[in-house]
Amino acid sequence: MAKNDGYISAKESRRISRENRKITSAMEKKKNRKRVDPSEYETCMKDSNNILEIDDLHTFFFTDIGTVKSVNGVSFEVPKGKTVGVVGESGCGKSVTSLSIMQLVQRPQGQIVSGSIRFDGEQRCIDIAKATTSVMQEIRGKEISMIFQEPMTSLNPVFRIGMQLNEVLELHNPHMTAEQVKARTIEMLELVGIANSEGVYNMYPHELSGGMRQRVMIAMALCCDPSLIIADEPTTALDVTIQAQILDLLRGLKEKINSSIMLITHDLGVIAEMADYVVVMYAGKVVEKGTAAEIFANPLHPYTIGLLASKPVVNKKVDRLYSIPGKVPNPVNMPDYCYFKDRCEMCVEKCSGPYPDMIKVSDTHFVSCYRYCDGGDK
Amino acid sequence: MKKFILKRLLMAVMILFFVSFIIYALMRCMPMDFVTALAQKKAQSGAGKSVSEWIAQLNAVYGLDKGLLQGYGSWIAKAVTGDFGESWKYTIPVTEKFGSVIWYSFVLNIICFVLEMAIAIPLGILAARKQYSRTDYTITTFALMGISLPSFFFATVLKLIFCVKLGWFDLFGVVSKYHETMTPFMKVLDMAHHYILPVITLTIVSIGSLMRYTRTNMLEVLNSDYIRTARAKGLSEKVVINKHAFRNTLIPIITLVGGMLPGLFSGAMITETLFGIPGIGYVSYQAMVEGDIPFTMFYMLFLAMLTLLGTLLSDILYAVVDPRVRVH
Amino acid sequence: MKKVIALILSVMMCASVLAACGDKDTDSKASGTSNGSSSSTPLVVGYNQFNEKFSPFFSESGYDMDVASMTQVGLLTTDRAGGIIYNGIEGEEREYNGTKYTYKGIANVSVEKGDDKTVYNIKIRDDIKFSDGHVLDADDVIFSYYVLLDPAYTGNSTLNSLDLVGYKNYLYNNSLADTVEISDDEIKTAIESNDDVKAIIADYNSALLKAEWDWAASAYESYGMESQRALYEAAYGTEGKDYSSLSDEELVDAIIEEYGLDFEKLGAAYGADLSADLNPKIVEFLTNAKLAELGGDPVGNIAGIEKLSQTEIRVTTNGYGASDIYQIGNTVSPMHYYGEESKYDYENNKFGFDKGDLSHVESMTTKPMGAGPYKFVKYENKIVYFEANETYFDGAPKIKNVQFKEVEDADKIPGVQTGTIDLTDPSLSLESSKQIGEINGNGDLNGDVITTSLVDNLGYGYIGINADKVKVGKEPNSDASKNLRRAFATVLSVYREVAIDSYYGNTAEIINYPMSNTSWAAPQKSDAGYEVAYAKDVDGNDIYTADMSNEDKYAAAKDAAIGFLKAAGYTFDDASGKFTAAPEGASMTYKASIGSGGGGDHPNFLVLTETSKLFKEIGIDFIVDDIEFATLSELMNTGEQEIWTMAWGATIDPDMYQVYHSSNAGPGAGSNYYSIRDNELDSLILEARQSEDQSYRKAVYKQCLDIILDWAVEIPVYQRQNCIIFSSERINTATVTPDITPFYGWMAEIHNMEMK
Repeated sequence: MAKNDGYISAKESRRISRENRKITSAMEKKKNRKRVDPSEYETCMKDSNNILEIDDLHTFFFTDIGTVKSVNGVSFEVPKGKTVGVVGESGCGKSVTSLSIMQLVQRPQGQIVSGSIRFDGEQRCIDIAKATTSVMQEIRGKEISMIFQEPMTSLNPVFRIGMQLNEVLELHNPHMTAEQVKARTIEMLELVGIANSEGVYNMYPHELSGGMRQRVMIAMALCCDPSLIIADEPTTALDVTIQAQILDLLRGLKEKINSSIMLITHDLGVIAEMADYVVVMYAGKVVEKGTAAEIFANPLHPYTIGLLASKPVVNKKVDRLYSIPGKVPNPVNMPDYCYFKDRCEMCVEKCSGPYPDMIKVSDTHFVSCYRYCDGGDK
Repeated sequence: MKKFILKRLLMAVMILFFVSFIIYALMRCMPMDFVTALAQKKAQSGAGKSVSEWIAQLNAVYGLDKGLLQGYGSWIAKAVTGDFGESWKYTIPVTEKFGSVIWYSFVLNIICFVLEMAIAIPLGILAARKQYSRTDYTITTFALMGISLPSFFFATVLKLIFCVKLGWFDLFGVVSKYHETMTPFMKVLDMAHHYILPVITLTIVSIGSLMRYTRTNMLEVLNSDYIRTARAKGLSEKVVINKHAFRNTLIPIITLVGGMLPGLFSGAMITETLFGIPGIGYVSYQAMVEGDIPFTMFYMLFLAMLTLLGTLLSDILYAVVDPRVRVH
Repeated sequence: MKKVIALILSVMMCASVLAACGDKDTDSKASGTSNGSSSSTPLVVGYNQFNEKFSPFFSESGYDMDVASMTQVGLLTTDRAGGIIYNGIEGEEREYNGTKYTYKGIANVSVEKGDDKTVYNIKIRDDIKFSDGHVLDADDVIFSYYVLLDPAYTGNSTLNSLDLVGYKNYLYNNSLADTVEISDDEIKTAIESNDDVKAIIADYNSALLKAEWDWAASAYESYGMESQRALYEAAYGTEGKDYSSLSDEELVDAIIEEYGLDFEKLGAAYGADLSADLNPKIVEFLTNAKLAELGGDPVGNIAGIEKLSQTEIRVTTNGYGASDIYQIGNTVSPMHYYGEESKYDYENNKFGFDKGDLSHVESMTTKPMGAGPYKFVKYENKIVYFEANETYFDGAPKIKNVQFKEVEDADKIPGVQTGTIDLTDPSLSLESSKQIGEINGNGDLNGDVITTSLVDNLGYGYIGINADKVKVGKEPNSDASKNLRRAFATVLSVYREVAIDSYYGNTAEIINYPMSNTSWAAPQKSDAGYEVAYAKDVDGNDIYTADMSNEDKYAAAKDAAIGFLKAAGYTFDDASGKFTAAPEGASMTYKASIGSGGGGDHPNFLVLTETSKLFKEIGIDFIVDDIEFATLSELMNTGEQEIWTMAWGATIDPDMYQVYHSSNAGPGAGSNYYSIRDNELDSLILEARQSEDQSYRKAVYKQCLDIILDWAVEIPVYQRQNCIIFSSERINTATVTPDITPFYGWMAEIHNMEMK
């Protein structure tokens, strides 16, 4: 352990920088190759029902204070047409996972180090972790699209709304004429519930409210009929009433379109409403995954239990609101035992050993905890 | 928009009035004035009159026997009609003298301006895109070196290398010795040839700050959310940088451009002197040092007017480029 | 938008590349066609900044005057030593520095010295043409004189200080003016009793005090005062009086009242003799008053200037001045161009312009025209363009185009090296001569790239000894006093070489007579009787031999000094080798003042310090006092200086009256700072002044110089040089004016110059 928590001497820092540079430049060189044989990234899905399979993904950030292992062995699937909710605290790696899927992680510091992200695209299956940027540019916006957290700043302030939406369409549908593009844009704006679609078409982002902007972002994401929509905390930045509206919208859309949605949030209520499957992440790893019913009815991992317990219930009087004691470990020097051990109230002997593997409890329910090693509760 | 411009123009007139008064007052308060120097010179050459007599006589001729307000009043009365008087030092009408020298400086400045923009902005963008890479460090270092170089030093080094050692250019002057025998087209090229070294000097010395400014702005823009959105849409990096990021970076830069307008008509005195360019720099400096009031007043007023126009232009351009600023 | 920028950029870059190519094309084209005729290659001369006052009448700076003189021709010409050529039409042969040269001019002049008048008869050629084809005749000469003599003329020419017969009448426009003499007594009476004169004085005083008030505003800080008022009160207020209750305006008025008419008191406070300014005014006023009484007729012309025919002019002056003829022989400018032909009618006293109104002449200031070798074309882009004048009387110039290009000092030598200019006048110093040597590659001032012409500076440097202060007893010209001074002079002289060599290198040389080498009267090394200064001991024997080393020379000088001091009466102690006592009226301590401002940066500094060391060894205290130059000048005016170092600027005439005549000796009396009062010297000076025979004068001046050296009041030290450099590569240096002197510059034979 570091002598003074958080303090790095200059020599240390230089050593770290040197190592970082070595690793990242090797990776960058690999990434920046001119000609990449398609066979490198073409693959096939393990299960053809899944639109996305994340398999032991590791995404690290090589910073000056050390290597931050944001995503440290994450595996889950997104079945076609279903909504998967990813829950976890701030800093557990949910957003980085989604960025990794889009290959939008800020290089050269951030790199997908290992693992694979198999995506069942329209023409072929590719492993996003190994795909080139040009391949990704074809997929982004067209087959996978993303809705971001901050609607206030996610739109370019100098271009009109209409233009920003037209852009996606024109890029991925070169055969469409200008009128067709415009018509479709207006259609999308109406789809997301913007009443004055013609007016908004000509407006600038600063003339719209937060909720309107988020609707525009959703419209942008839906423009090209993607097969996977990643919604990264779409309602966190909005107030509760608008939140409800947006969620209504999303739910309504879920019925209309047949894309899969990966909904990232830290709000369990939203998950309960929207998700079919739930993935619980903690400190860069998946600690539990299962269907929504399983997770809410039968949470197994102590963290999940704690999360559910932390949620205040209406009409229930308590003296103190429950919160999970302790805090998230330092992402730079992660221990090699269960990350939750220091905060867990239900530790067993085995917990001092290495990190527990994913234990299958049922076909859809998996948990990573020593308590269920031999099956059943202890 | 029209009302805005009109209001600004009216304010500009008011400001010009005050600015001209202040300049006139300052020039009148200067310790050594034109008349005293001239009187001393004339008294020395004989003709019987003493210094004080000459001063009295010349004061009347040049209108300096009036008080501050009166003197200003008589100047402004004529200036409003467009008559800025005759330069005391150069003995020809101020506007004529000004016109004969300003174009050399203007051409020099405008070429430098265009080159500056064309070189600094792309370099700044490149440095921002490849932040912390070797390219970034190289560009930033060269920019810093450029800013730190004193122009006279750099000019002399250029002259040494390109004129003395390599012999590619004339050591100074705006025309070669065969200029008179050339066709009009060749005359223009001849002058252009002589302008190359001064342009290089001025440009390199001023690229640095603009480049750094662009780089900073670009970095800020590149880290913003809407760029991430643009990438998420699947746009190529080229389009993201050149369309989405660039438009936003341009906003503060465009506002700089307006402020550069007066700079186009001022003289880079050191560069002009070192390269023998008959521009406004040396002429206006001499006039000011010798207390030539008509010329200095006209020139200062001209620059003040350009400054005001420049700021107005900046504001207008700002509104053009950034939709958030527009007032409806 | 980026596309537009890219387009402009590419266009500009192509343009400049083309320019570069284009330039080379025209270069090769020009040199191609000029393989046979180098005449089309322009000569480019580097000059300092012009003020665009290119008029032979009104130019103020030397550079403007040069531009004007390219287009003008002088009535009379001088030879290389500054002597007048009397027979310009046929040409005269004179020898200079061992070579015989022929000098031609446009006129002949003969001088008739009378008892009280001198007559100059001038005859000009009848075939001289101005560059526009007009013939040059006596009318143009007359016109040129009248412009310079006009009462409204305020230019730099001093023709109006010549005592021409009838000039005073012309100025006062009264035929009786020259009969009116205002005596000093009359001036005095007028000051006391004449109200109008008093008014003149009062006006003058108040104008001066008002001007001084303005001056105080800018000067008070440098005098260490807190404010303009403080300085003004200190300078002009009455001591002890309190002015604080008065406002600024009232203060000035009060002080004006205090002085009233007392211009002498004001002059004392001001620091100058105001009567020098006031007297001419008073004289003018009184003269006019007297003339009003006497009547007299208006005078329309100057009697001393007469046109005898279209080619003959007669000028008459009162008395004789050796330098008058230089004024009379000034440039002849075209009357039809600078004046108006309709206004010229010699018989009716009309000379091409209205008397007192020179506006038409002034209007042609920026475009000179005349009969000189070149025509002025234009002044553009900091270049003055000249074209050859095909009708120039001494032959059409070989170089058809000449340009005078403005250049910065630092760019002069590199400019010739790179070809931007072909000819210029850089300042000569050790560094610049080294630079030229490097460029030439052979370490010499003359080589394949640059040819240098060294020209003596008009003046020389010296060390002076004040005879009134450095003497034995009461007699400055006793043998003892002279020996005392000779002791110092001998030692000072021996260190001249080492000092000047280290300061100026080979750009200056030691002179042995107190006269600049530029003068025709200066003794040359080849002349009989030329001796090294102060090289003899008290018995008259030579101190130095040719094979002595420097150390030996210093030792020999020391011995000679001991000999001189002993002869002066100093007590010498053989045991210690030092002097122990001075005779009555002399001292063991003397101070040498040098005006290098405390930095010691002066060519003579080393001379003084080495001398001081040597005298210390023999017990004499020779103090070197390094002061500000301004302080030194003031010291000289008081006559308190003992030994000092200075430099003289020379005039074209070697007249010694100002500097060596006894009437100018004494504090504040004149320029005879040496306090030399020698009757023989005085009479020789006056004799030489009266004669016009150069060889006679030269002999007389040699005698004068010997007397001065005998008195040991002046040690001549150095004659430094200026230089003109030519491009050996582009100018045919064989055709350049040979033997350039300060009086016969490179432009003197510009029409013979050729480019390669």
